[in-house]
Amino acid sequence: MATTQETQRSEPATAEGKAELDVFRYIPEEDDEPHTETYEIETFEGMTVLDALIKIRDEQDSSLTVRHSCRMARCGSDAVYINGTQRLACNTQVSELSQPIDVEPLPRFDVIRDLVVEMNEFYDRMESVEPWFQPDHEPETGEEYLQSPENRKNIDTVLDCIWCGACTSSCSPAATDSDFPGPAALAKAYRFYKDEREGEETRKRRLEMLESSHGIYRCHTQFNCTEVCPKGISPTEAIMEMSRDAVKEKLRFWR
Amino acid sequence: MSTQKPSKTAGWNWFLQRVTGVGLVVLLGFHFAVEHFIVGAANVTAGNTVERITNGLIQGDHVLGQITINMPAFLYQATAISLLGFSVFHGMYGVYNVLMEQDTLRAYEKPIKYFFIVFSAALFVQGILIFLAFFEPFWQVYDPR
Repeated sequence: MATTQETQRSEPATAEGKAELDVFRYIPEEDDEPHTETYEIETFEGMTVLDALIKIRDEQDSSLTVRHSCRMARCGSDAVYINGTQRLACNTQVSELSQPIDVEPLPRFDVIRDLVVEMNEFYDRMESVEPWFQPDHEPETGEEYLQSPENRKNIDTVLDCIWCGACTSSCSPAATDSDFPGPAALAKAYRFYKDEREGEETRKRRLEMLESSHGIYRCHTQFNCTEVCPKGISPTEAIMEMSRDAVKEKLRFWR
Repeated sequence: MSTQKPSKTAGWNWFLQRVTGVGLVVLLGFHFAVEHFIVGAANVTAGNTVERITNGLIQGDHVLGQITINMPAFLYQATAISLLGFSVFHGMYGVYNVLMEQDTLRAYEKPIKYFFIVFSAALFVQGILIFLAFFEPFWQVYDPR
């Protein structure tokens, strides 16, 4: 569907010139239902979608609401749905997009106002996997929990998560199953599951916890989360590795 | 998640879903090769089906030309029963999973689960009964030739 829409659009905007944005608007106190408003703006070289939205808010419509903070793809607060894909507005160049540029809030999240969505359910999902360090015992030497470079390398792939919610928004099982933690939470669980400093007991307990009937086995292996992650993380691969490990544990029934 | 009980069966079911998925690729490949490329769907009769199931004799002159394969009977029968079992498990467990992912059906989790167990068992038994019907004296009931 997205591909068809893309092909019907015009060529991307030039580095400097004009761009047209179709922005999702909904102010619960004023609007009966959501609608789209079209804005035309002057672009500049290097302009991101977030720059464009801020420009609209500053120059055309001060009621436009968008959540943002660091503007450098570190805080994850401005994840939105741009031309049919979950992206960070601050990390998406206007010049790379076909026009008109559709900007909507993250699908499957409740809309608070305009492009701002309710993140509490997402944070609850994250917390459900106990995303904090739980060592079995005190550090062996000194005051630090030392980690081997090899082990650190194992979790490198998932450490960059910025909790933007793009992956969870793209995940089909997470949309219909509120007990499924979703890709971001499971990638976070993987980060601690693979951390050698936690110890064998905690590792086993984490794996058992993730093995509920609405846990890791709910992943459809669609790789939607992997495709949209702005940090290049592959939650699907992390989930599959944990699923394989859990089944391997079961297959060693004689131990 | 942390408040949910670990499941003893979820892992096994996930594993079996994958095993049967791979198995189906192989078994369906065999099924299509025999029924559609060697025998030909239009040429399938009760008579040559009885030959295949009871004697493992695969004969046909279709897309792949004239071919005769004399498989050990037990091997052909094993592929037929495996195809039945794998399809029932893979299909039914897949649909059951999709239903269980719907929050709106959460209240009916147990009835749905037991329905699928009973329905899957019934499908398998029905398939076995059809399979047995090709053996004497069952096949005579159908007067295949």
